[in-house]
Amino acid sequence: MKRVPWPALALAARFALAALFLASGLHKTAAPAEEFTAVIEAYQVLPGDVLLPFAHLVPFAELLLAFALAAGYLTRLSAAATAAMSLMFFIALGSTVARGLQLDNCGCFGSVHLTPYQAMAVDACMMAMAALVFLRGRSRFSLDAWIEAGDSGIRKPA
Amino acid sequence: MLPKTRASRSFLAGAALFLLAVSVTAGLRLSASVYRPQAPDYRWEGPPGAPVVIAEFSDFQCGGCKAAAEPLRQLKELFPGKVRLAFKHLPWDFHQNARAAAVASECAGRGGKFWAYYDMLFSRQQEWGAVEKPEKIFLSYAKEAGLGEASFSACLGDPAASGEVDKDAKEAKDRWVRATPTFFINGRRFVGVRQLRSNGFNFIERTLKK
Repeated sequence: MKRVPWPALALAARFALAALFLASGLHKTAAPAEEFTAVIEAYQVLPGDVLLPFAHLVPFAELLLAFALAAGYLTRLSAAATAAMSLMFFIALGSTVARGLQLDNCGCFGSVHLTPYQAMAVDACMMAMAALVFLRGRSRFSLDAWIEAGDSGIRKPA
Repeated sequence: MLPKTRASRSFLAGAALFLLAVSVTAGLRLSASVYRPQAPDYRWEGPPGAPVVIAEFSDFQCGGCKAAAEPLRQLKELFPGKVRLAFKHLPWDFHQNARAAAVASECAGRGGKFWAYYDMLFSRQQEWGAVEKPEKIFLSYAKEAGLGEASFSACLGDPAASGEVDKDAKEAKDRWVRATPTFFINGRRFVGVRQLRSNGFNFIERTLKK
C-alpha cells in the first residue's frame, strides 16, 4: 500500500490557503471599508462602534496571513491563526443561520456570493487544510527552513 | 548582507512580510479618488453651492432605499439650504421591475417631475414591485404627476433614457458600489440607512461646523 504523501499535501494546502486568503484580502482591501462594514453589520454580532475598525483589520490580517503562509514564515502559528479566523467566520455564519437572518452577501470572496451553508463548508475545508499545515507543514520551501539554518547566536567558549 | 543568526533572520522576514502587507493595503486604500457626482439637472435637489453634497445610489424597488427617503427628508429639514442631493440609479437585476422604474423616473425627470415621481415610486413600491408588466402603473403615475401621456410613453422606449440608467450603473461598478442605498457625502461613503443615520448625520454636522 502506498504511503500518504503528507508533506506534499501539506505544502499544497499551505499554498491553497495562502491563495484563498490573498484573494479574499485583496478584494476586501480594494473595495471601500464601508462596503465590508455594511456586510458585517448584517451579521448583527458586533457593536456599531467597532464595525469600521474591524472592517479595516480583517482584510489586513488576511493579507498578512496570506503572505506568511505563502512564504512559510512561522508556519505553525500562521496555520493556527488561519484556522482561528476560519472558525470565527464559521461561528458568525452559523449564528445567522440559527437566528434566521438573511444575508445578501456573506462578505467572503467579493463578487462570489455564497449561501451561508456554502460559506460554512468553505470555512470547514479551510480549517481542515490549516490543521494539516499545522501538523505536517514543515517544508524546505519556507522561510522557516532558512531561519532554522541560521546560527543559534550562542557562542561556544573557545 | 543577509543576517546569519536565527533571531535576526526571523525578525527580518517578519518585518518584510509586515511591510509588504502594509504597503499593499495602503496602496489599494489610497488609490481611490474622491467622488464628485454628476447627474442631469432634474436629478439634483437643493441649492447649487450648498456645503454638503450627497449622491445617493439607489434602486426604486429596494426596501432599504425606500427607508432612506425619510432620513434624507430629515436632513433637508435639519440643515435647510445646506444640503444638495443627487440621485444616481443602481437598479439590481434581481428586482424585476427596478430597471423599468428607473427608466420611468428618467422620463418623469425630462418632464420636470423627477422628485414627485421618486416619492410615488417609493411610497407605492408594493403596488408595482411584483406585477408582470408595470408600464401601465408607471403611466398612471405620470398622469397623476401632470406629465403628458404621449411624450412619457415615447420616452419609455427611448434608448437615451435607458442609457442614463446604464451610465449610473457603470459608474457604481467603477466606484465599487455593491449595495443600495449607498451615499457619498462630500465624497465620503456611507452604506445603508444605519450608516447614514449614525455616522452620516454626525459627519454633516462636523462638516458644517468647520
